[in-house]
Amino acid sequence: MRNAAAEFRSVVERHQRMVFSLALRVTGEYGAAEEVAQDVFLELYKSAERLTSEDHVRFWLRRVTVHRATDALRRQAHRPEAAAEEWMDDAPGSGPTGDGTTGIGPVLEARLEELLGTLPEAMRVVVVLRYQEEMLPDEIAKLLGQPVATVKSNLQRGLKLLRRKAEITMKEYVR
Amino acid sequence: MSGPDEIFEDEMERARYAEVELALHRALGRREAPSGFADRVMERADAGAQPVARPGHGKLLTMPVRQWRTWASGAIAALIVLGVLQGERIHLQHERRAEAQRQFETAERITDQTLEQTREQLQRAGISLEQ
Repeated sequence: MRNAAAEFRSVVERHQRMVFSLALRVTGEYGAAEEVAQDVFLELYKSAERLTSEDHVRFWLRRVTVHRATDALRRQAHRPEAAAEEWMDDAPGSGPTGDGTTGIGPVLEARLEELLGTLPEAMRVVVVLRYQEEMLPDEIAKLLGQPVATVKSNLQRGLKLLRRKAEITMKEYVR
Repeated sequence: MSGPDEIFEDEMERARYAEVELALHRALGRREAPSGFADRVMERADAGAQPVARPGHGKLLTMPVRQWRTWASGAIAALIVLGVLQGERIHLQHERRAEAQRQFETAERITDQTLEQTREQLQRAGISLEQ
């Protein structure tokens, strides 16, 4: 019994950064993220499912974390989805530098995580899995149980929305 | 040419969003879990979240209080039911024995009466069974 506990603790320590970061970026709240992350590991502890490899553990943890974090997000009172379409009028080459780039520097990079929290749930989840976990579109599709085309569409829309918001933020910044 | 791992099919679109993608990679590095996170998980795990597949001998001793009460209530209810059923069984057995006794006594009485009647008939006929 002591060996099982030690082994479980080792799994927690090995994967806590991944699970917590996923939960934080999806829920957007520190307290909710810790609660989600704890619940994920406890579900693993109680689960009778046999996880035979490190890849299998990682896949399971990512999938359950995303599910629990999106549940927590839906329970929150404020949700940005209603306003998302207003931002989607994309004017090509209209970045502040005039050459089609947004000129995202360190200042805006720091704001990107905050801007991520304004994305609708479906876009937010795939962006986090792609750029935090460095997962490929087909890996994300398998994790979420979605078609690859859906994942790519949400990634495209998420990137466009983030770029647009970063442009607006930059214009505000340089004023 | 785009591959299956590309998000944008169009090369110009890919170039356009390359900067945002790079910034996202840098901005979304994994964060550290809160201090003491693993300790809190282990405390909760030890407190009540026993894993499903465990050896059975220690389970009653390590069961949380709320679960033990539920288990104990169920066990007591089961014992009461068993006790009632056992009592009914004993009563039935007693009844059956008494009935069997009554039937035997009746049969014995009938046999005695029949033998007596037969003796009288034989005597009237002048036949004596006594020697």
